[in-house]
Amino acid sequence: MSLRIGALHAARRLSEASLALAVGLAISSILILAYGYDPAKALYWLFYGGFGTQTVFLDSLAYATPLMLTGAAFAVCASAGMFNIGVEGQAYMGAVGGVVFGGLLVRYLQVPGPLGVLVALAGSATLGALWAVGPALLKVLRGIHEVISSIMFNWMAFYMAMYLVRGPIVNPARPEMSISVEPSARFSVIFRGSVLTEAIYFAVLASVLTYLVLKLTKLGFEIRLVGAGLDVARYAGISTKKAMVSAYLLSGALAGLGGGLIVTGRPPVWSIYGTLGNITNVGFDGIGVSLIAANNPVAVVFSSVLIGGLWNGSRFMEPYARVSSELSRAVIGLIVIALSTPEVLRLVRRLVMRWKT
Amino acid sequence: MRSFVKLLIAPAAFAAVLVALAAAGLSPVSLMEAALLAMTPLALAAAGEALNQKGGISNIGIDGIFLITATVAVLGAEDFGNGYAGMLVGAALGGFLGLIHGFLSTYAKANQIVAGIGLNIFSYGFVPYFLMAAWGFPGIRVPPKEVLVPLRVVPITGTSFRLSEFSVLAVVFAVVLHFILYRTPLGLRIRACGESPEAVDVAGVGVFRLRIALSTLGGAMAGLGGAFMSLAWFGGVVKEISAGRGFIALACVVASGLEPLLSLGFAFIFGFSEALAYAVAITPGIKELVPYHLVLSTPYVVTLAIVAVFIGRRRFPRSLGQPYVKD
Repeated sequence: MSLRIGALHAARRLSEASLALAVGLAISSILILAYGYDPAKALYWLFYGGFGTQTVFLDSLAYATPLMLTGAAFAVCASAGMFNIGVEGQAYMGAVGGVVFGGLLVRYLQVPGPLGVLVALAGSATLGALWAVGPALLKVLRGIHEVISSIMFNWMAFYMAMYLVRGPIVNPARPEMSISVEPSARFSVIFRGSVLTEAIYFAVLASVLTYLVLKLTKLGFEIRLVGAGLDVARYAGISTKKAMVSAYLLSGALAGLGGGLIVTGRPPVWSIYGTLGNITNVGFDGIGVSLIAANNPVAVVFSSVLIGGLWNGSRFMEPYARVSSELSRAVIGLIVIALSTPEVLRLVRRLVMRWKT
Repeated sequence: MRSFVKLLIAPAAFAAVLVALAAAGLSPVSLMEAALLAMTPLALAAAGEALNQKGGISNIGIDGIFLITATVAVLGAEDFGNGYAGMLVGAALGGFLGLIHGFLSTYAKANQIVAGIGLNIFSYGFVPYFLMAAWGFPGIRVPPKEVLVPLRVVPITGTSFRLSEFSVLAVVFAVVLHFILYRTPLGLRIRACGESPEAVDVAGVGVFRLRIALSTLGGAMAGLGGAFMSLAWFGGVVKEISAGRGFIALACVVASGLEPLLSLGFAFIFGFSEALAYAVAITPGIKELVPYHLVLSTPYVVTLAIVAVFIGRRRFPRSLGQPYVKD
């Protein structure tokens, strides 16, 4: 019985998400049209370039990989009723941690094969969680809304990463990027000719584990109870502050891993650009991914593939339809806005139904 | 009496800071010029958003409004051949975005934070797209000098001080909005709208319409601030022009406990800290002492510290951020 209700719920969410996607694409088409481009051509290349052939689909999965973790990160906090906009900065710090641990420490300790990856990712998770401590404490001790504090931490992370990448951990041979992680700290490529690496197995596993932690453990139960309402949790005798801080730190660690997977799992650079170009927006896109997935870490895996595909496809949209690839981020934003108003989506669905019959 | 003494402490301490900085080789005049420029967008957006939040809607999409209006205002200024027309375009577009947010937050019962996040993410994509679509060049647009909003030179004994009339306008706005909020029947309605919308509704005032109007006003003031950034302050637009200032404006709002006048004070503090950080980062003799990128992050640290200190005593409207559902 409860399974059937679950399936019904999932089906409703899926239709809501598809409707939001349709709204996002429709408004984007208006924007494309308004500047004299061809929306049909742009959307064709967006989807053909993201999902049309096996080669591009594998690359889309590679784009999706870090988003699964930043998405799961946002989902954990959302389960506790908090908005961790700080996933962006935590991912920067995670990438820095991956480079420092996977580049310097792994080389220094001569860590072999698959173990090196784990060392690098341990660095990512630690730095990501560390960057979440500030907003978490400001929230529970001073009542500062996490959206404001974590944005400040994002910008501090931005400048901190930029300072480190151009200074202490710069690649002496190629000063436009940081040092690379050691070969023993890299995920191996699954198919030759694609940038998809085994990092995706790690990302899927981590998302599923996050789901299980939320659903099956005591900590997960407490986090969800806090998310259901502070009063409920307090009556249940739960330390709400402890649960909130735990959720935030777990979220930071996951976001850090998301940044870490970029430097350990994405050929050919295995490092951070001096502009931070290859790590920016991985957190913000993860927010979109999580909201599309109704903050469910398992559903995040699938919505990551959607957003990853949009990004990969946008690389084709730019040369073939002359539309700037950044438009796909506008699409994500519009999807999120549409999802913020389930009432309107429901209304639109009802109108569509009536129009059909 | 005590509050009067407190009122004197701040300017005195500030004067002491300026003297100390002058001794360290940083010109107080150029510091103040830069501080007022940096203050203006924050002050405009914060005063509008303070009123908006008093009425019960919070808009965390201000940063997105800054970005979008800063960009589109440049096109407006170029098309009309006049910077002031560009400022109006920015304000109108900001008002339109605020109107949409107001509609979503009332009739559509949106989760306001999610809608705000969506607006921000949209702006991160729309702005680079727009820059490319409008001018065919990625990431940046520097318009011809004639269509910018010039700064006025105010003669002060011995030196001249460059100031924008919009900085003055920001101060006037903060004062006027504060007066409206606390000294007029309309202000009473606004405050009641945030505290107990049911009562306002029973009294025959449309909660939704009032909230949408406030959200539109807040958006328009943020739009004016965004246009100010590109047309009066930086003299052009880059795709990350706002640099999180929308969130600093929100920090001003919450640190002030939603009071327009007090938020003006915080906007000045943040503007000054940004001006100081930038001056330290480029002044020879000082810049060598500290890493450039770390200095640039100080405004954000200052923001956190100030909010952490001041927020403890604030209380917020009971129904802030809650969609109002009529029974």
